[in-house]
Amino acid sequence: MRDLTDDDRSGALLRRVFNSEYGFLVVVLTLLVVGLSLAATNFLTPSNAVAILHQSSLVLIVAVGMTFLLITAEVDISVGANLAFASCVVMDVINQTNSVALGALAGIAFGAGVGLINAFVTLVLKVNSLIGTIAMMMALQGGVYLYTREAVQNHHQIEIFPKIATGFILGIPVPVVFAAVVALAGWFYLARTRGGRLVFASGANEAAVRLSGYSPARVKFGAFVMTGALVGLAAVILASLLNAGQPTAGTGFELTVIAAVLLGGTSLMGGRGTILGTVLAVLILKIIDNGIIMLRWNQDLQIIVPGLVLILALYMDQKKRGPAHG
Amino acid sequence: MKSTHVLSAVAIAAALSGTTALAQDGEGLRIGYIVNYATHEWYQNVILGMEQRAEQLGHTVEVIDANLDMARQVAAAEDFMAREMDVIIMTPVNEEGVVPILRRARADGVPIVLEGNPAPGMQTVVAICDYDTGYLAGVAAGEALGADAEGIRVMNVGLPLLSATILRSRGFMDGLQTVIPSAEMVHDLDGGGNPDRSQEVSAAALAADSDIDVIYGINDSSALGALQAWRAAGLPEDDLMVVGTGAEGLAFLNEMQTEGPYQLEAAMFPEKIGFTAIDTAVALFNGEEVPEYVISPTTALTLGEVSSYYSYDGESREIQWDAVNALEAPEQCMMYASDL
Amino acid sequence: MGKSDVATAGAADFHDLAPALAVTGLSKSFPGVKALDDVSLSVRPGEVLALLGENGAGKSTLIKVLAGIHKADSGQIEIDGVPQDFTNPADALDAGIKVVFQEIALIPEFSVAENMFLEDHLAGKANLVNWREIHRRAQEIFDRAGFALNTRAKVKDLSVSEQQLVEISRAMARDARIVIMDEPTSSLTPAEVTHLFGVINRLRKLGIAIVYVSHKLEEIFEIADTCVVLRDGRWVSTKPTSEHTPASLVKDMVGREITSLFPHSDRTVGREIVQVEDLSSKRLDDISFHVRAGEVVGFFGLMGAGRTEVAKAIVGFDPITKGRIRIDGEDLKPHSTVRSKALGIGLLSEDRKTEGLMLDGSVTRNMTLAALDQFTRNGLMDHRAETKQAEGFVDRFAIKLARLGQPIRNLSGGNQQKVLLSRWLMFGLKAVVLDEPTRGIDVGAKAEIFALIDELAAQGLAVILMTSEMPELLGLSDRIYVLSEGRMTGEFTRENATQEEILDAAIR
Repeated sequence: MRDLTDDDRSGALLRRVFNSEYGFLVVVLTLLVVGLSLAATNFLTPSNAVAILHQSSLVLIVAVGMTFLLITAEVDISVGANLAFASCVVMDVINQTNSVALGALAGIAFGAGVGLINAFVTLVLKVNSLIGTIAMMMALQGGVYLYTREAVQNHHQIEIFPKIATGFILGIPVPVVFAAVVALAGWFYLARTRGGRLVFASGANEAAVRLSGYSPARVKFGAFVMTGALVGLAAVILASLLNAGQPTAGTGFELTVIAAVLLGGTSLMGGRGTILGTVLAVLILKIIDNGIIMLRWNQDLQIIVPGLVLILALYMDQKKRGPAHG
Repeated sequence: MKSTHVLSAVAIAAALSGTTALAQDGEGLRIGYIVNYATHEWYQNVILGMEQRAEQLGHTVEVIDANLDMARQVAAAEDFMAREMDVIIMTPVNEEGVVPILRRARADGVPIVLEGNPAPGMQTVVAICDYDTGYLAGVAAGEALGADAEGIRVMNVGLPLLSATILRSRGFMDGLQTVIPSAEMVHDLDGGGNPDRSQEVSAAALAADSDIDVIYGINDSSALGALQAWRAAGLPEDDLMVVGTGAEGLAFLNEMQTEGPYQLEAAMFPEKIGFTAIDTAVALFNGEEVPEYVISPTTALTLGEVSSYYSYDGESREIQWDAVNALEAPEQCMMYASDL
Repeated sequence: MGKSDVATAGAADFHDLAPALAVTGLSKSFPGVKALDDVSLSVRPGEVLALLGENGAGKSTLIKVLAGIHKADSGQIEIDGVPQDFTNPADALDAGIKVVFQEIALIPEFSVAENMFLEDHLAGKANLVNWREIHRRAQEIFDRAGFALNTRAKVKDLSVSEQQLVEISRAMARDARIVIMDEPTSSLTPAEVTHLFGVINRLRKLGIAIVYVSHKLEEIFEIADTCVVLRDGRWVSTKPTSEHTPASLVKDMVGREITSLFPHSDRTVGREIVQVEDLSSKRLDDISFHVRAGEVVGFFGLMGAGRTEVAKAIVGFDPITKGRIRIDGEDLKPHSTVRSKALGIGLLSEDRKTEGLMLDGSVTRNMTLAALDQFTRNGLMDHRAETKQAEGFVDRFAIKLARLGQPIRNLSGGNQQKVLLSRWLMFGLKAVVLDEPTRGIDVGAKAEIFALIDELAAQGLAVILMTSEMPELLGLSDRIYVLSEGRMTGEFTRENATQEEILDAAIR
């Protein structure tokens, strides 16, 4: 009974905020916003807020799926390659059929199909998902060049298509609306439904879930396919944003996504994680990205700083949870 | 048709068996090209130009892709030399990395033409002038805006990693300022040379300061990515001018044809580079005097001018050789990487 | 079993000797806990001292202080009358204390001899390893101790008990005067335990003092000369084993009288709930049995006999190759846990950590895992109903916790086991399979679990109990099946079961 009283103990406000579930993220986010507002006069403007949200939306859409996957103790490294390939599929199908809807459906179906294969490799062939999806990443990176050597252009110049990514609904960019809907749905599912409970349980202890009369394989299958489908949705937005399918796009995308999910407090070992944490982490990473340009710092820092923040976050997390594990 | 099939079959058989003698219908040269990255549209068009020119002259070109791998490039060069190709053209993956090959080729008496970047110990390099390309586009942009335009503000979507792309950006600003001296660069960005990254960094920069009149991209992807960021920010397109560089593929053509802000393209004619590389290779083989730097011409194109250089049917483009060949290349570039 | 010989042989020499190890007034605190509070004990050469106590009594802390891993806050450690001051494990080793931990710390890829001289062999001349000398010295130690070990065998190819011998030999290689064994029999077969006791007796004849830590009372009465009991970090008693009875030992450990460890209420046995015919799998061969409502049926077998395999097969967790399983008349087809749960049978796994608990999950979430459907309306969780149910079970089984939301990791083993049992009771089963339900649980909590098992049967559940603990088997079961190497080798009723016959069947 000894280490249970920790959180009842009252302490300095900051300390308590820091030790709460999202404490670290909220503190970092606040520091970033305050610091950047002081350092760059243009930071705290509606147009920059919109730009940051816009930038966050692609990562967030996929990060929601990745949060589910990591909670079930699986991972998908192929999301970046899948994104590039799916964006080409979207554009190609639009070119072939002259229909934006069919193109979008094809992209989502393609992404989900990749997720399906990942699920099959992991759950049926029992290949560790880290390795299986790296293999899938390689297959997709090579495969996309068999499919198209160059960027797939919007041949028919359909006007409406680029508007998916650049349009606004009630002053909010369309991709942000998509991302918000995806994040809300993901949050609701994890927090409120029986299925969400099984997502956590499957990652925390697969054997226990099986012995309790549920199928963790089915849960994981769902997470893989959902992640793939969300990559497909992101690919529609990306293709729209670039008005083309880019076989070279998405390099390092998987790392950004996984970094965001981990920064958000989801455990690589499974069983723990939240959508709100992921949302906060995506915002942090994108604000860092944005701030570096605002401050006109060397853009190479855009890769270095998030890496450092991630290490710091995981260290803080470990420190916070440390005593309970002794 | 049939005879070419037989020919290529023989060529493949010869290549596989490693024999050096290759059946050719008499006098045509066997030219080997080691491209550094065939995936890119740019190099595909370089290869296209080579093949078209070689066919005209009755030579054959064989292409190997080093795929950005120096080791693979060395292996390909050794392979070509073992098979006694008449001339080798290569785009160095790495300028230092090709030095041993150049040394060996010189010892073996195999002529080598470099494409794109010079390297120590080379005989000749075929390249465009990056600074000049940017400069010409800058001048054209200045003229389009009008010499009396005031306070022109520029966003440069650059790539500070490479000297070539630094030269382009600098040339563009210098050219623009010769017409409009008050023009200033407001954002100097690293767009990574790809559209998604360019889009991201431009979005952030535009959020900081969106009072921009001209966007310059060091390639088409950079310019297009920045333009998409502009649109995503919901900014008005009426008074914007976008200038791309390269005329690499179809994307810029599509965009220009919408008659939007993408008004100017600094065309570098990759096909023409391939064309010039073949001519240089043949001259080198024949023992003619070849300058160390062979310059392939570039020019700035408006929508009205594009169609005389490229015919376009929405699916593919076709270079108009007469127009391109009529362009004059300068004897020397205005600025080289070594001047940076 | 030469118990009396051994005891007298040992007793003859050591009583007049000065202590090899004497601990006086040892205290050690961790933030918020006093792990050791003024503990004293002494061991003489050739004496086997049993160190007893429930989990959290301070045994592990004491061992770690003696091994030089922790530093005591106050108190003194003397070896052969010389005060010691250990600052690290190497000091303790140099002073002659060797601890054989539960987790054996050998290098699997190295040979036996190499492992024995791990610390020494680099110190040779010019940093060269003298292999011949190492093997010669290892063999010498084996001869002296009477161990049948090959010095050149790789450690990874040895059984757990053989690895323990290597650890003990390692102690002898360093002339250890005091060997501390931490639960050495927890993963040994009965034959290996007998062998280990032979080894301990040889060690005591060599004048080595032994501190023996174990939960298993039968072992204590067989091997120990003296019993030291700790409770809540404090010393409780030191007595010769001969003055103890099992009841008096348990009383010292738990701090209260436990009247009946194995309650057995009168209950009415109903219809057959579990019917298994000709069950075969990779490790099982033609197993048939039945269990009726209100009956506790025990399965006994040595390690590897197939108890866990039967348990996992009949709940659809492990695949079967042949046979028919019926639960209350319905076939377990398809052979899955989803189906078995629907039919009303569930398993409490022997491996709490890897197959039962979500360690970082809250008590509530762990408890309601099997019964989620009860708290689901249109796919949505009713958290309030869930918490209410969980509270009910916490009260009913007197589960000790701070709050329902705390991670289950922080509960004691006994309380964790009660939560896992609640998981199935909340769902409502007709038959429950309990695989080693008291493994790693304190004596006090064991008694509560036993009472719970009896209560379940009384309520009409069919209870299948897999156990390797003979007292537990005999005390709880109405009927007993014995397994050996995947086959059924005996069936006994409560009345005609004897320890000898059961063991006989278990090695058949």
